[in-house]
This record gives sequence, structure tokens and C-alpha cells, in this order.
Amino acid sequence: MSAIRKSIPSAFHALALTLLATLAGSVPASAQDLLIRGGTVLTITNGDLPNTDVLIRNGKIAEVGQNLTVPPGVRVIDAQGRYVMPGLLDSHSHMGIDRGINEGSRSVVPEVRIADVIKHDDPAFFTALAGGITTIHTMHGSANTIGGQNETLKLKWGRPWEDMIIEGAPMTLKLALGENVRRSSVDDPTRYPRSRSGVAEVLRESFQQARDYLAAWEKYEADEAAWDRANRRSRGLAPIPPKRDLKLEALADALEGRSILRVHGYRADEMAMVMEVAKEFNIRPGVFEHALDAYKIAPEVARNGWATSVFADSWGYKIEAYEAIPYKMLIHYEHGVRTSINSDSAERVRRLFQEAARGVKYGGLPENECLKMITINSAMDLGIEDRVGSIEVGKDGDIAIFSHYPLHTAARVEMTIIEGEVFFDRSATDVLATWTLDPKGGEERP
Amino acid sequence: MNTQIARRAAGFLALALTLALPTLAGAQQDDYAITGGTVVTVSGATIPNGTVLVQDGIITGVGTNVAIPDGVARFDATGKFVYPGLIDAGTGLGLQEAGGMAGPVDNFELGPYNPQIEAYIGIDHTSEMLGVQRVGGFTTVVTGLDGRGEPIPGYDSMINLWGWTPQAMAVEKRIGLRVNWAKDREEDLREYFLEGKAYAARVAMAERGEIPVLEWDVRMDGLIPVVTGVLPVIFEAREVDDIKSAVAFAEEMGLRYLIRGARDAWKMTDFLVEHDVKVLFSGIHGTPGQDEPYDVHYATPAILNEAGVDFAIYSGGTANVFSLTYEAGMAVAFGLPMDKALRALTLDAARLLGVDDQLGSIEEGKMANLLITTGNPVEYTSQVETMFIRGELVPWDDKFNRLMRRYRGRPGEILP
Repeated sequence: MSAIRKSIPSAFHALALTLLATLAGSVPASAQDLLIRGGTVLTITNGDLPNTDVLIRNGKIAEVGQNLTVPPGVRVIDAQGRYVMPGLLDSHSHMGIDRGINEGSRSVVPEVRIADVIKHDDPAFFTALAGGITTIHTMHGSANTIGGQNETLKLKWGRPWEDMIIEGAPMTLKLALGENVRRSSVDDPTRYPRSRSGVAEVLRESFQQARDYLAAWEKYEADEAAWDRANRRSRGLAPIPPKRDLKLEALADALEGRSILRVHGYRADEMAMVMEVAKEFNIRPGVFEHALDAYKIAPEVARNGWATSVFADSWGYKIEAYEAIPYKMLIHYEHGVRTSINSDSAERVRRLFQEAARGVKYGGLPENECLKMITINSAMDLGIEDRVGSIEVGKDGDIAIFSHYPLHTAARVEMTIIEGEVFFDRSATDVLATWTLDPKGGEERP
Repeated sequence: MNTQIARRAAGFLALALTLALPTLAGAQQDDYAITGGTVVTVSGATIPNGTVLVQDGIITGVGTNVAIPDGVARFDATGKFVYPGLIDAGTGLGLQEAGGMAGPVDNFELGPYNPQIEAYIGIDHTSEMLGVQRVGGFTTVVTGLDGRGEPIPGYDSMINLWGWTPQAMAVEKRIGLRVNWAKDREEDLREYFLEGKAYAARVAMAERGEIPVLEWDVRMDGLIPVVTGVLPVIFEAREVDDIKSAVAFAEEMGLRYLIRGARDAWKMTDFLVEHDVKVLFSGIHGTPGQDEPYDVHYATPAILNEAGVDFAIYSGGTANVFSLTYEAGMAVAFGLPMDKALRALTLDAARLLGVDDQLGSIEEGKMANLLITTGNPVEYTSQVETMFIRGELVPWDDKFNRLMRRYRGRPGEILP
């Protein structure tokens, strides 16, 4: 997205908020108001600002600057000596999913949706909050060629699932390649496709069906329009609409760029295949998940406009993970391949900032580039970079406050804030207290 | 930003050249001095602008006034730090390659009791999993069989992560006998250890000529070093009851021992101090169970340290042993002093395992396992630039560095 396009909503928000500020005396403080005072603010997109305040009003960042005036009634959080950064995003997670992440009976199931099975009281949400995470992208597994629609959530621990959904976040569609989708660990596989070539063919076939489906609807709409215009006496019967197909509808969304492809891939050849198929169908470039060997084809990935969401240094747990190297972030960076670091795990999500630090250790990436990989780059993976992922006026008031610089060894998360509300506060949650898993409200979905 | 990358690239190139020259000259065993760096000895004071002299693989001088013999090669560490090589006190390295396949997994033996087994003899010393651990600063690890949790899987070995044969890599072929303890195994293990004690006593009598020479029993023979207190038993035990019963068993049998794993150690520090239990803790990154406090495993090393428990840490890993520094780092974030975190990966690990006369610090007479780094290797962003194992300069020819060099150098437009 161009800088100009991006700056428009920010400018608009700034203007609106300036108007609001002139009425400051008359604006009552809400539960989503907060002033975070005196920390070192790591904006991610606009440098590091020492001794700076962040004012959040109605859940949005209203002002960033020094010595801000505290509006009446607004809670002040002292962040002196601490580091204030945007809430971390985990671009690839499977948390909060009730019973099973793969609909494995068929290999192509784009119609199934994580949104239907969100488990709002997953305790992992709480421990992730304690690691500074505010947004997760929780996904289908990698057992299917096309695994379904994922969901982007804010970790509003204690709230019902509806409150966690980010309204307006683009749909994302899970695809998978390689050993998992081939079911290579199953001794006697019976499900097509069994080969990488088969996976490529299934993708082509699926997108061709979606293309035909779109064409059928276009033809119907044209016929219907013509029928509407035609002489009522001589036009005959109305055209019959095509049968609605939820599977092809979801694929059509991908064809038309309304959803983002999230493609589980390890080996470079698999990713090259997907880029080829995507080009054939003119599909918007998406994100490769794990992308362990993408460093081997970094120039091609960059040229095709795809991004990657990786493990920093996991490797060797299976043969297709045998060539993963922790220098991958360096090589991606040198070629201009956007990279985020994800957890894929309820354990690793608690310390994503440690994972980001590997970028400095293995190849000496600039520190802010490493922080981007767990904030703004992840937000771009999800198409919500105009809302989260950096500290900018107009964006959501999602903040993680660290005891030390987040890539420093002594760093731990002291407080996690989502849309101006404190959802984790270490000072109020003794590390040795057995957790009280008592989410307030939020009915289990029927 | 790009200048920083360029500088790094130049650094890599310079490093590659530095490494290539002595290797090509076949001069690995040459004597040399590391000069100008901040020498973090671990055992004593840190020495700014210090010199470390290495001769025949052994540290022969440490300080600011070390006489450097004529003709000795020098490594300039000005602006850098010199640390002892890191030790991981528990891994499965060399006994399995990539996961997900049966063939390369060679980390268990059949039958419940195998005290005759030694891990080092079965390691694939050319395993790609060994070399890559060096990027995190690890020079030495304990490795052992335990794939299926049998009560006695065999002796763990301590190996260096550089050498042309398993024998050359071995620091101690038997560092301790692994026992996967569980309270309900106690009776069987008591019987087995008592049998071992009786066998050891009869062997001693036979050696003194008091009874005829016994028929050799390979398994009983394997037990002799532990039942006579020469080598330690390393009990894997996680929960309070298991740890307590393992300690009681060891005391009853008069064993030298360590407790490994020790997930519940934070609940029982008084007991551990009172019984002077040596603990190898793992699982700092572990997710808490629903009955455990959140983040408690992050905080456990600090809790043990404050209570005065004698402990080191280990990864229990194969592919990602090098990430143990990040586990140590998390313990620091949760209150463990940085110098203790470093000792847990160096001198304390060596001392608990009984090899502190050889490893764990930069002292005269110790094995020259040394790092030249940009900072404390426990710090997340520190880089290990040069490594010596048994005094040999180790080339960065591990899988990570090989692939990095190959694919950074491939043709293709590098965007600005």
C-alpha cells in the first residue's frame, strides 16, 4: 500500500481528533481512555521517542507527544523507564479453536470457517496477553489443500467471542502444501492428492471451478438485466440463477482479491508452484506460512510480491524442515521480502519478542526491522495495517509495555492494553498466583 | 540500515578469511594468544584488555601480564569479549537426525535396564544437528538415550561439538547413569541396585583374591561405577513425590546423584536445600498447566537461586539446543541474575556434572573451549564470532552458515 493512501485515514483521524480536542473539557472519559506517561515509545513506523506520552481516547490513539495534558477523569499509567510499543500480533496461531483445526474428510474445504468454532475462554489467550500479544490470526491446520477461512481476533480475555472479532478485517483463506497436505505421515493414504504435483493440480482445478462459477453468475446477472429491460409480454420466463455454492464462493473471493491467501509451505519448489498458479489465475499475492526455504528463492518471492510469515529458528523436526536456517530473515530483508515472525504455538506466542531478537543475532538486522516482524509486518499479512501494528494517531490503542527494550534479555511484559483497556497487568497478577481462569461473561457458542 | 548490513557482510567475509587461513595452513593445533578482549573468566574477576594463552589445547595463561612466547599466533579480540564455551547439560544430540522418520532415530535400546550402554559410541558425529549448535555459543553438551522412557536407558556422555571421530569429541564417555525415575518403579529399581551392590562387592573380593573370579555380567558391570559412588546417577523426575522418592532412594543407596527435569522444583526449595540436591532444570519455556501459576517456569530459576538450590539448566533438545540461551535469558527477565544465568550454562553445569576441573571457566589448566563474542552469549542479540574447541579454531562450516553463504551468493537481483 502506498504511503499516500495510508496517510489519508491518519490525516482524517488527526483532524477529527483535533476538533474533539477543542471540546476536550466537555468530552467525558470513557472506559477506553488512557494516558501512558513518560515511556520510550517505539512507534515502529516513526522511530523511537524517548520520554513520550501516548493518549488513548475511545479506544483509539488520540495523541503522541511529550507532556500531554491529562484530560479530566482519564487514568494515567506511569511508563517512565519502560518501553511502550504497539501490541504484538501473531500472524499464525491455532489458539481458541474448539475441537479440531482440520476438516480432513476432503482436501478442498474453503467453506469451513474458524469464526464458527471460536472458544473465547481458551486459557492460552491469557498467557499470550502476558507476552504482549493483542491480536492473533487463528487458522485452520495444514492437512488440506484448501483448508478454510481463518479469523483475526483481539485477545479481549473475559469478553464474549463477538467482541474479539475485528470487524472489517479481510477474509483469509488457508492453503497448504507439502508433507502435511500429502498426509505423508499416514501409512496408507487414500485421499487425493498424494503428490506435490497432485496438490498443484487440485489448486488449478479448484480455482478454475471458481472462475467458471463467477462466469456463471456474471452471465446470469447480465441475462437478468436484459430480461428486466425486455418487453414484458414477449420476454418469456426469468433466467434461473446458478445454485449457490459456499465452497466456490469462498474461492471466488480469493480470485477477486477480497481475501488473502495464507499458504502453508516449507520447500522452495512448492512456493514457486503456488506463485505460478496464482499468476495464471491473476490472484493477488498472499503470504507463505513458515516459508522455511523461501530464502532459497528470495528474488522470485520478492518479484512476485509475496510475503512470508516464519519461525525464527525452528528447524529439523521433519525432513522438509531440514534446511531451515535462522539467517532467513536476513536474506529476506536483503531482497525486500516482507517477513513476519509467528508462533504457531500456545508456548512460543508468549515470547514472540525473543523470537524477533534472533534477527539481530543471526545476521545483524536493524532492531526496528526485527520489531516490525511482530507488529506492522504481521498487520500487513492480515490486511489490517491501517488499524494496528504501530503507534500512530488514529490507530487502535493496542499497547504492550515492556520492562526493558523488547529485544533485550531482561525484557518482560508488564502490561497489555487493547483499545485503551488494560487486559493484563503484571503488578496486579502475581506470577505465583494460580491463575484465575474466570472470564467474565461470554456464553459458550451453541 | 543498508550500511549496517554491508558492514555485517564485510564482517562475515573477514571472518571467513580469518577462519580459512589457519585451516588451510593445517595449523589448528598451533599455540596462540587471544589478546585485547574483555576476558569473562566466570570463575574469577572479569579482565579488561586481557590475554588468554592456549598451548596444546589447554589454557596456559590468563591475565593482563601473560608472557606470550615468540612465534605464537595472535587473535585480536579488541572490542570483543572472551567467554568459556557454553555447556548444555542434557540433549539428545547425535542420536537422531531430522524428526518424523524412524531410520535416523537411534535413541533407545530394548529392555528396561541398560546400564552397560554408553551414548557417545552411537552418536553420528557428522550429524548436521551437532555443528549448528555452535552458532549459539555451545561447545559442549551432554547427550544420551532415553527415547522411550525406560527405567535405565544407559550412560549419558559429554561431548565436544567439534572433532573428527566420536572418540575425539568425547569429554567423558560416562558422565552419569540416566535413570527415568517414577515412584512406582522404586521397588524394582531397589532390587536391581541391591543386586548391583552385591555384584560390585563380589568383584572387589575377587580382585583381592578372596573369592574366585566371577562370571562377567555386562549389565551388573555397568552398574559398578554408580553403586560404588564413582559416577553419579542422573534421575529424571518431575513431580514433587517423584523427586522426593528419588532423593530418598539415592540417600538410602549412598549414591552420588543429580535430579534432572525437576518441573516442580519451585514448590520444594526447602527440601532441595535441606538434602543438598543438585538439580538440572529444564522447561523454562514450558507452558503452565491449568493447576500451575502462569509464567512460573520462567520464574523457576530465580526462585531456585534465591532459595540457594544448587542448579544448572539444560534444553533436552536436539535440533534447537542453541536456543537454550533464550531460555536462560527468559529466566533473567524473571529475576535470575545475569551472572548466575551464565554460570548455569558454564561453570555450574560443569561442576554439577563433575568436570569443572576441565571445563566451564577460563582458567589455567582447563580445556581451551573458548568464544570470542560481541557480548554475553546469554544476551539475545550477542553474536559468537570465533570459537575454539580443545584449542582448535572451529570453522563456520555448519549447515546454517553453509546454506546462508550459498543462498546469499546466488544470482538474482538484490533490491535496494
